[in-house]
Amino acid sequence: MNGKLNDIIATYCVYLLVCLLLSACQETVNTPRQLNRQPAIYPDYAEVTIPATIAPLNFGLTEEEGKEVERIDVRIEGKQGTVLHVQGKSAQFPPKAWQALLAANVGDSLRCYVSAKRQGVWESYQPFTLHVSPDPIDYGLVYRKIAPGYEVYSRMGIYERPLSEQTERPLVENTLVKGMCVNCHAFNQTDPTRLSLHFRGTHGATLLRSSDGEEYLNTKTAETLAACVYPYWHPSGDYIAYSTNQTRQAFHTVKEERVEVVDLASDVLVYHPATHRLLLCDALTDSAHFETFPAFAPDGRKLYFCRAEAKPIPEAYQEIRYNLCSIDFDPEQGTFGTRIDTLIHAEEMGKSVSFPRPSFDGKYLMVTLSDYGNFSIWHREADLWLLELATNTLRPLDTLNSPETESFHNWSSNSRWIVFSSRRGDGLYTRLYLAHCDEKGQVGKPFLLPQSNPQALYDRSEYSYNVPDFVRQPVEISPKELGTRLTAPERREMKAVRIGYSASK
Amino acid sequence: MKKQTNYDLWLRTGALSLLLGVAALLFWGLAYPHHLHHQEQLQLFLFTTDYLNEKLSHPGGLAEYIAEFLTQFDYYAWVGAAIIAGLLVILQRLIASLTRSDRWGSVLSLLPALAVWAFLCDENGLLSFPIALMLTLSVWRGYRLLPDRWPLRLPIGLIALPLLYWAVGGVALLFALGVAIESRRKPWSFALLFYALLLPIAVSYQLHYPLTRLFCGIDYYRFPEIYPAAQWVAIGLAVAVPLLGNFFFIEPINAQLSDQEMSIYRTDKRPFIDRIKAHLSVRYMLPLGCLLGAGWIYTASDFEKERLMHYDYLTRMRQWKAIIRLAEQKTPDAPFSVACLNLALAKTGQLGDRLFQFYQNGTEGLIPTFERDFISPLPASEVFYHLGMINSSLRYTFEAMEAIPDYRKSSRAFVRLAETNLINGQYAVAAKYLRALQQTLFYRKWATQAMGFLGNDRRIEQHAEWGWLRKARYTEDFLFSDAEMDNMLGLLIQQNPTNRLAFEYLMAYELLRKDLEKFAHYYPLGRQMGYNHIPRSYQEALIYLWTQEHSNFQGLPWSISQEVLQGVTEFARLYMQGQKNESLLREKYGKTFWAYLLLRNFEF
Repeated sequence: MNGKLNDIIATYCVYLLVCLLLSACQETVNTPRQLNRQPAIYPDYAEVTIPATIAPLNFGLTEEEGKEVERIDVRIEGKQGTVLHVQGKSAQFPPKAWQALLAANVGDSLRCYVSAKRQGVWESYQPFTLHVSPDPIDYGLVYRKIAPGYEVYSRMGIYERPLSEQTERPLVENTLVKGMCVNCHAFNQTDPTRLSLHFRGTHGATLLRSSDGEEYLNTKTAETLAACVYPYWHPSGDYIAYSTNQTRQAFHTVKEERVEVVDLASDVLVYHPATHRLLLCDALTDSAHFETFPAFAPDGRKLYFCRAEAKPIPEAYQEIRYNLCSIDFDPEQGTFGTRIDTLIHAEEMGKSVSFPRPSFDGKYLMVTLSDYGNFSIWHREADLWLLELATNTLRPLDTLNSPETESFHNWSSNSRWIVFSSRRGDGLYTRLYLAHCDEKGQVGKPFLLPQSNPQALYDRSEYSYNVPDFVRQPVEISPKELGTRLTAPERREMKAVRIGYSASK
Repeated sequence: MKKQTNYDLWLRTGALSLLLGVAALLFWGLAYPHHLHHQEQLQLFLFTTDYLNEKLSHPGGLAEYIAEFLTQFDYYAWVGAAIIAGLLVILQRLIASLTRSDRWGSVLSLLPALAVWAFLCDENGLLSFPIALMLTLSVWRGYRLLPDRWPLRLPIGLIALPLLYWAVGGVALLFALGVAIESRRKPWSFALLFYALLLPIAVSYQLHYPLTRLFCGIDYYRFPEIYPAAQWVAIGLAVAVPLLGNFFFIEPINAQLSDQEMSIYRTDKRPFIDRIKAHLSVRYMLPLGCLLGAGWIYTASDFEKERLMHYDYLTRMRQWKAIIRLAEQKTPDAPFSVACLNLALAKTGQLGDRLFQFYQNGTEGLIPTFERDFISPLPASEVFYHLGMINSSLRYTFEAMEAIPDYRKSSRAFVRLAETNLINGQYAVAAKYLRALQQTLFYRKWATQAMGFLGNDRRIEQHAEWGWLRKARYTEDFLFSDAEMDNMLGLLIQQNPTNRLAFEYLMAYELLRKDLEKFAHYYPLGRQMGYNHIPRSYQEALIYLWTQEHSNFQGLPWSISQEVLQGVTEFARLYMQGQKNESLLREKYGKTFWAYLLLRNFEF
């Protein structure tokens, strides 16, 4: 008992010492000059809605010309009297205190008071607000990091980042197998126990983890154009849709543009892991059209995809415009409907659709619209749009869009959070942004994925963050086993089967 | 007898080390300096904690960090040469101190250093290997100083090994191997070796590297999973020389050897070894060894690559006249160096006049086509940059950097990326590269100056080079096409009719691919380029065209020199006479467009 008491006393003494040391380092902000504006901070977290479990939103003040920030003082006050106070070169919040503050203010707002010391003088800004949403967010994000290059790639990998922490861990890096490239990855509605992970290179394969176990697939068959890419799981986990694309890259010569990725041909198909059958149907492999970016509806009875009239490439590359279409799918029989519906006639708008992503509550479908083509990640004009499925109304997500590229995106498992990639930071290096979407489809101001030192990390990072997806739990991958299986020659072959239409349709 | 003693003294006191150091300094400084420049440009050492942390995140990271720190000094070749010479000397001294035997030990201690020298002659051999070797040998040396009691040696070994492994990578296993052989009669030493072998296996469950790299080293060689012979020879010698030294020579190195071990030295082996030594006089073996060592280094060196790197360095540094002087000494024949030479000729306004004075290998020697590697896109990126094809220069530079096999970034590429983004007015991206360069030793000043151009269009337009290149850029977009380079050059001239470099490249492109129809089509574009005479190669092409349709020079619309007129007449006469004149034609007219056009595949 005495020992326990001693432990408690010792612990409190340490805390006290730390507090004393910290307070000794802190200056008192006395009679600061009041400024009539909110602070310009990086990342811009002012007036954003955040999940209660998000990692500390550390930030710094953006420098005013000729006025270096010597120190900033930040007080965050909750409505229930909780306060978090930090001071330093930038705002670095202690994780535990931050989590406690957010937990105590779920559904409420936090007021953030910022003062800055420049040239020995303290100045106080107007406070800004952080809204703590009652809507929970998933465990973490999985994304790829790769330099925004052209054809050649250097170090890259797929990484997992718990959203309540500030460290990421590699799931797979291309140092594992010589010459390897990792790209398309997909989980079933954020469930990482069902995953598809595509590797290119000499030891190329697609790792598929389904209810039928784990297999390393050769997804190229004699009947298909190329290996399977752009995966999307059927909600049952019994099927996974892919597209197969004959892709080429081309390069622009003027400063505003860099890369153009075009398809010479593309089809959509569905894999059934239980039987190893690759289901092909005429409507989705029509040589007069390019079909790509498949996505199953949350009820699993519809397959969305992008479709454009095939035109000669590269001559007509700027005339290729994809519409958003759908076709019925019968998961019991593994068959498709007869009719292709067009949900977004983007061609009529002078636009082109890519990356359709239905929300898992079945209410919305988010897409990227660009001026032409399907590889919108290199199109500066690319923006996010939201289709309300009940009313079939399409609207741009102005709160999310910027003059730079907004492109790949995904929904959280409860459809209340959105993650998307944007080049708005510097026009080239893609970063990840999170935003809240309420039950009425109103999307809040996005915020940059928090980091312990966001200014330094994002500035020094040589990578773009792309293909982000939520995961509800950590992904289990053993690098050693993965390396062994990838370098082994064994691959499961798919059996391509051309199927007829569903009898019921 | 006295002489012999001096000789011993000379060997023991480090004169050999001095000899090694001076030889290495002269070799790297005089004969191989551009290999050092080449190494320097294939890394970007940053003075940031992030950079250190990133390096320390894998086995061998500390050695890599130290190596990159030192390699940045290769920016000045003599400093880089001094560093390598110093490292080789330290390595030799370490081996000598581990061997701690008579003069033979000193001579043999040169061998691992020579092997490392040979390893570094390969342009992909990285300094992290000798650093790792040195650190490992230092730990081994320190470990020997411990009292020979296993309760002390084993725990220290168990702690030191993982730390050493993490710091230097696979070479750390050499320490365990050395200890195991040295203390081979003690079971704990083999336990230590077994433990060392488990370390890479354990790490393979956490890190994303194949087991072979975790065993053999991640960062010793630029290409992953390639382990050159010199690396293994150096490792083998680094273990063998100290151990053989102990085995062979006069004083057992370890004072802690058991009586039994001492008796081996004293009885069984000594007379035999002494008999061998008696027949192999150091006096003669040392010069012979030096000769063999020099031969080894010569064999390991590649002076053709050194020459290519020289061209590359001069191009990077914009030393156009030096490039031409170099070519005048020995005409280059690889597309890489020919492309550098042609750029130098163009930048000095001599391309039209002197194109065929040097060997030409078609359009590949003018604008090499893109290859997915980290070297070949560099001359093309330079050509595109100076032509004003900024996006293409940016792409080739970025691709070359991304293709560096060990995934490092490139200081040279970062400079060019910053420049191209500044010219393009993409200031946020340019600022990112410049801020990184501000964290380097040798580019900090340049980057800080360049930061002053951010967001300042007017200042960029006033910049002699960037301002001109900004005006030379394309304003209307189209897709880049290797196969339509002449159209792209034509559009560049259309964009800026005073772009003489683009005109000379266009003319050279058509001449080099022997398309005289297009040459004649584009030739009039040169009227506004300010020439005071028709360049020699154009004269040769024009007069050749004329002779295809006319029997004499009357009515010739161009101002062709008398020398060219006489030349073409004589060339035609000799050419028509057939095979017997081949050598004469080559001798008199080998450096003309006519020879390039007609003699290359000439069959008399």
